[in-house]
Amino acid sequence: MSRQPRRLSRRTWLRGAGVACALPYLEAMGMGRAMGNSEAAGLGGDPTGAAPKRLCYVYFPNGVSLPPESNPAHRDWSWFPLGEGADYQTTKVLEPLAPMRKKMTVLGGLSHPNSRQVLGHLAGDTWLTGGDLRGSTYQNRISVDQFAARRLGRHTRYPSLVLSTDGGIGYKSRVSTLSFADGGRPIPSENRQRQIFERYFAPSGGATTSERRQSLERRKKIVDLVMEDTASLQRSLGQDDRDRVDEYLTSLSSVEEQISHNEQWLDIPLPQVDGGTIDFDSNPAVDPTAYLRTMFDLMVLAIQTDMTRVLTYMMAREDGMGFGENFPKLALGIKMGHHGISHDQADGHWEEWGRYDRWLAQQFAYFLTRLDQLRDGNGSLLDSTLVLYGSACSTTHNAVNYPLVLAGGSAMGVRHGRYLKQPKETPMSNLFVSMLNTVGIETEQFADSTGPLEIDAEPLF
Amino acid sequence: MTKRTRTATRSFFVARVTFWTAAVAVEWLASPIALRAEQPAANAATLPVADGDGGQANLRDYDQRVRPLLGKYCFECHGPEEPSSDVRLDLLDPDTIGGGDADHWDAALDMINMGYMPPEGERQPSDAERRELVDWMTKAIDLAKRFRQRPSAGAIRRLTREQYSNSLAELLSLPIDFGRNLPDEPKSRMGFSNSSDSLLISPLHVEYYQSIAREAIDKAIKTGDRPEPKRYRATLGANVGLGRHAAVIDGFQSAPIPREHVRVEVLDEHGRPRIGLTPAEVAELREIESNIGVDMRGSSSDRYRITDDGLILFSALPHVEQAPMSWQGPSPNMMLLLRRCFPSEGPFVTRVTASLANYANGYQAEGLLQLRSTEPMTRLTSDSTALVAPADAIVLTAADCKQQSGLTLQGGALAPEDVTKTSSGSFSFQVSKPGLYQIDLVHPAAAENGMPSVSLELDRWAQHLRVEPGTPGQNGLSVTPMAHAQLSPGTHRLTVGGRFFVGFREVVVSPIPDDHPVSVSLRDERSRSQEGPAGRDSALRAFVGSRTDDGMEYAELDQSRVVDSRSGELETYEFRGYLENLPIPILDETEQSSLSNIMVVGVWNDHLVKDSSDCGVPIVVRSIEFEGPSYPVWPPESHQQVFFESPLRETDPDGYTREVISRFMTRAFRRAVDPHEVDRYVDFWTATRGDYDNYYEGVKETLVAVLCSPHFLYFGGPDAPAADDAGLAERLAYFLWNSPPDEELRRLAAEGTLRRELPRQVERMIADARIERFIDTFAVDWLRLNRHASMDVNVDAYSDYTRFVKRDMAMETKAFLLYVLREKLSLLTFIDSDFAMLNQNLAEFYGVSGVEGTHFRPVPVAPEMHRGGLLSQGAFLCGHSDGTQAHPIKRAVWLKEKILGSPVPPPPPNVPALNPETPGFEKLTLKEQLELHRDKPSCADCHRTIDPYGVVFENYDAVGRFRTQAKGRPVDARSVLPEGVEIDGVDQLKEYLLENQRDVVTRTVISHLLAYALGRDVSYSDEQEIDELVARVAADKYNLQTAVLAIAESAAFSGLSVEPPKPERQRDLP
Repeated sequence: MSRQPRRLSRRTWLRGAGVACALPYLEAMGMGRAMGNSEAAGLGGDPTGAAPKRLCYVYFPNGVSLPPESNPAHRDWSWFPLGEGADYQTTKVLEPLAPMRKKMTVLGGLSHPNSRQVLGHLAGDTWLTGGDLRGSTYQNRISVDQFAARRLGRHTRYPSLVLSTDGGIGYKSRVSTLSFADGGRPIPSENRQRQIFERYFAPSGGATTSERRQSLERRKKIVDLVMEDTASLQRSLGQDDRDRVDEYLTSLSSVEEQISHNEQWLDIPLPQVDGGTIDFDSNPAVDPTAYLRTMFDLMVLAIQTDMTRVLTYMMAREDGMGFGENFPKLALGIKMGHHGISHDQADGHWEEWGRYDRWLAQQFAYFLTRLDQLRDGNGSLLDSTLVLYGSACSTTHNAVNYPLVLAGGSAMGVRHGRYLKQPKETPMSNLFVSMLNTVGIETEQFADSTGPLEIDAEPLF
Repeated sequence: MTKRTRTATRSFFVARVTFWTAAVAVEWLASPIALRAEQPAANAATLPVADGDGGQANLRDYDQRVRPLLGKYCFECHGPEEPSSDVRLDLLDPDTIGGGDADHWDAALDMINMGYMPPEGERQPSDAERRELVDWMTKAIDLAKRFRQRPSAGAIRRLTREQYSNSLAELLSLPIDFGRNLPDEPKSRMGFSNSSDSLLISPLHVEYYQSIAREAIDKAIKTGDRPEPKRYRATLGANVGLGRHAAVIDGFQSAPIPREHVRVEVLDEHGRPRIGLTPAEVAELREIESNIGVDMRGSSSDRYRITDDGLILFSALPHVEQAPMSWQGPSPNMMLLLRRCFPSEGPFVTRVTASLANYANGYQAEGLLQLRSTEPMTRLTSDSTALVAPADAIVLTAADCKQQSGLTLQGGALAPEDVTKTSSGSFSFQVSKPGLYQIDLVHPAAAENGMPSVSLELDRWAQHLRVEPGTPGQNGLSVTPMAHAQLSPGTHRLTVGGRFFVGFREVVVSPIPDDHPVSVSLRDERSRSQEGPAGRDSALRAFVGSRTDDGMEYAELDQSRVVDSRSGELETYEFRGYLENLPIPILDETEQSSLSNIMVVGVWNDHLVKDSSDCGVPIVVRSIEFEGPSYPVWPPESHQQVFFESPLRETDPDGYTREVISRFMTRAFRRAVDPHEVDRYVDFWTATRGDYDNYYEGVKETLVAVLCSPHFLYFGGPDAPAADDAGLAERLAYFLWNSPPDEELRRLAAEGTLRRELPRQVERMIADARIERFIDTFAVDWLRLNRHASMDVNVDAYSDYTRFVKRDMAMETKAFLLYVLREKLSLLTFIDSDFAMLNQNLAEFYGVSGVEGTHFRPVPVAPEMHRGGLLSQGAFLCGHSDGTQAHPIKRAVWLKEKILGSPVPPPPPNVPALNPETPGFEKLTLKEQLELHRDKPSCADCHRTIDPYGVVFENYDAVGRFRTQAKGRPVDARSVLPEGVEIDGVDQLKEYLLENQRDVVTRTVISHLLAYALGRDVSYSDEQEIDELVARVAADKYNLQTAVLAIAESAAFSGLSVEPPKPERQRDLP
């Protein structure tokens, strides 16, 4: 069954648009044009002066506190707000985000169809992929951030930044990364903050430059040789066959163009950044607040310098694994770990859970506030960045009704300020399609989407 | 050509109409004229047309008479006025010779001929006008047929993903599926994934080809020392592991074999246990041993047991396809767990030492037994306060539980303090009367998302259960039966608990009376087990994968092995593979969890059974061993094949390198290479070798470049098919093997004798194992088996539809095609056959008895089996259901398209679905629902030609089983075909097709075979070729092998005589 996103093929495009010039097709095929030098300098903004468009995904595990309406704790400790639409009333949980109300939307009801029946913890593997893990074969797929990075990554020094608190990939069913390449291969996440800073921001340009340059050169030499070989093959062919091989030649040259573009980046000095105010020695096993804030600071830095336009951050892992399990103890003095809290049935457990959810929201609010304080084009960084915050289950192990906050993007026309409840059969991937389209990636489909996200009232995107 | 066959062929192009009306073909949406202006139809070339041939006259007719008519009746919808229309008749080029629209005119003609256009309710042309239109179009298409050159076999084709993988694997002698991450190939109109017109290439492909080539060359060329194999063995048996080290890996529903029954050894490369000679070595070995263990997760505790001889495995009982059990392998399955100490690549071998088990040992006479009935022996009073238990039941209460950990008393029940942690409560109790008991748990009801679980230990037996969320009584209590137990008199110890423990108020151990159905069933089983396995054998299935938290991800390894050595005569069974092809974990060094980085190497008893009372043919496993990477020679063959021995190697290193590159190119390009072609690559090597410290690295880079060359990635061209035997060898090999030509084909091509030898070669190729690659792709594409692969069957309704039944259904269809081809049977066998290809598992599912073993073999069909031919195979029937019910429309569309060559256009947009709100709709049979359908005018037109073909399949349910009742009423599979013939069910349909539609069926099969062979959909221009093929095959008793040979010898495929007639001779045309 083909669940590949339907992207325009070159041949299709040529047929469809006839005599139009050849450049836009590169866009449609996900290649993009090499950026002009002003942008390559990492200062943001394209020749038209518009701010670059970015995507960012932030995840927390184990679902959220959702006391039933009959429970007195519902009013205070339900993650989802009371009421809906523009007049929603936030509980104590999302209260820390209240100053951002006009720049964010709470989304309810969404989930990935393939994951609805699986154990909630497993759904963490598919939060950004919509993959199918139900059977004996683990059919994960490319994650939406990496799908986007193929396009947006053409403009920046790095296609994406993949972060987590725990680092690495974890293991199938309990991953520690949100990002997956084609075929569902996990992309290792980075978690050591000083190393991240040195690698991506230190003035020396990082130790990896010469390796990167070497690998690009090798790739380029092969492409050159193969182009020569292809051109000579073409001369021996009839017209129809020549057209077919021409497709390969065109693909080769766009790859060559991309390699040259990547090489250019290596010659451009890193922007001057001041890491002096960032605390790189925070330890997630001691002070989670400091650790998360440093991570968010690094993300802000990456966005600010246009080092990348695609970021993922997994704040903690599912099922009590990794550093995140002890965050409630360390930050709030709650006796149980996060996973224990999520299963707890004792009196007052909703409040405990809700308090921790609130703490998470506080950290996220810090990130949004930072983004909103920095200018970018005609607005703030937040106005040109779509940030999705949430989890892959509602209450523990229920991989439906994902708790989600979408923030930012006002400059791209996103109309915030509401709590929007979606019908429960709506695929989460519909949201992904809308987000991709909003940052300028024309795609009709991602994973098992059935279209963009349809909002009955005033559109969101 | 007869009228009937003409219709059959033409109707292929109705599917073209699909492209026009449904918004699926992006390329047609924007502007059809642009398509023509940019690209003349890809596979046709034109010949000069003389004035007298009718072309000019036809154009004049168009301008004067035809276009005005089109303007009057068609352009309103298919013209500029309706810009959203996908079909623009006004833009079609009336010059069918010079232009490229003959296909489109052909489709338009079909629409008019079949009466679809102009649609009902619109202004209709008069009969004379209609005739004018039809005559002109027919003439125009005729011209195109005669003067547009037939597409030749020279059209260049990119290798498909499978062809690419196979080519790389054979070139490098590495059976690794290198292309697995390449994007799926799109399917053509006729369903084929190898069609040159849809095989696009993109920058993504370019990047993939380069990175895959790098990966492949790195794996093939191995310098340095031979890597030390990691070799481990776990021996199983009562107390064989006393005093030793082994991992006991706990976790959700884990069932580790206790350490004392597993002896883990680290072996040297000769298979001798390693003994540490220094304290450091001892510590190292101990560390490894402590990370290796054996686990039985997913296995019911009464389907395996440790004995002195080893571990007895009953025949595996597949779980219902519902999580989490469906993720845990069948019951029982035995897994060797390797934590962190596994290699990440290379060839490896798994050795399992086993024999058939002594039945008497196999049957478990005491301890815990899996439930044979889910009825509790105990119940709660209606207010839930009191317990109603049999008089002599032993009731163990929460209050009596003296030994417990992690539990706390809540409202009279003991519940875990932290449900995510392990907790437990234990009891001792006395049994005075020996016999069969049932253990029921009275516990607080828990929601499903709390993963309510119970681990139950009774003396030395243990069982891990998932508790179904019951309907709680008034104070939130449920009663869940957990297990039966055969208990001897005396003291017994019982523990309940585990992670996600549901808690309990009481544990009730109730005697089961002798006349109770459970007792009767168990006595039966026991007596059956004592009859012994006379004359029966079993099989071992190996698998490899990763442990996940809720189960495992695995893939089967190698073939299953028949186990027939008697009890006491152990034999070692070897399973081989490449780790690259299997879902082993990616080692993450930063990952600390003790449940991570665990590779699974396991086996189950592959004599699959269908219910828990059947122990099948038990096997005893003494040991399981893993060794990898395991290279029989070093450097490996893949290396030595590239860097071969040559006199130049020492004397002239640069000359040797040229030899290496040249030979590699010859094999990669599948033909002789010119010296100047070699120059290009040798120059590359010379220019880049300085970038590398090491000679081999520099050459490897050049080989990577060879693998990115279009000469490797494409085949079919250059244009000179008639003269080029190497091209023919290549096409033949990719046709019948999906692989590059082998030594013999290349030799014959070089000698120029391949054409003469075709009959013998085709026969040899069909006998070769690689023919299965053709069957795999052709069967899936032609018969649309991917529908079956992606079908979500409702397992609540069909609980015995397991993954193994599903797998075997796909195998059935493939085995059937292969058998018909190899045995030179008639292709009419596809309609009906006096045999069915079955193995035991599938036969039992279909209700056919007497088939033993895992292999597929022809089984004679008796009428009451209702099998035979493709039309009664599960893969088709189930793939064309909705997972819960049969789906006559899908089945009819399949039959018309795939067997009768008469594709059905999809429903026009905005057709309302059947309204399930219609009173009584649910109670109607499908046939009645369809009749409702046909009463709606918007549906009736098409459905009267579709539904009758679907109704006849009503005797087959959603999973392809024969039935005579549906929804409590007798099945009515009677139908009247559009041509007026009355048919009752599939058996009569088969008779009808065999008597009346032989040529249509033959033509359809051949058209599909030809399209696959040519790598392009067939069109009107192939009609003559197909006519000839049909005639030849019919004359040879419809022999399928003859069809394949005839295609291989045909002009279109072999490239001979594709000259169209000279136009000057066609003077008789108006």
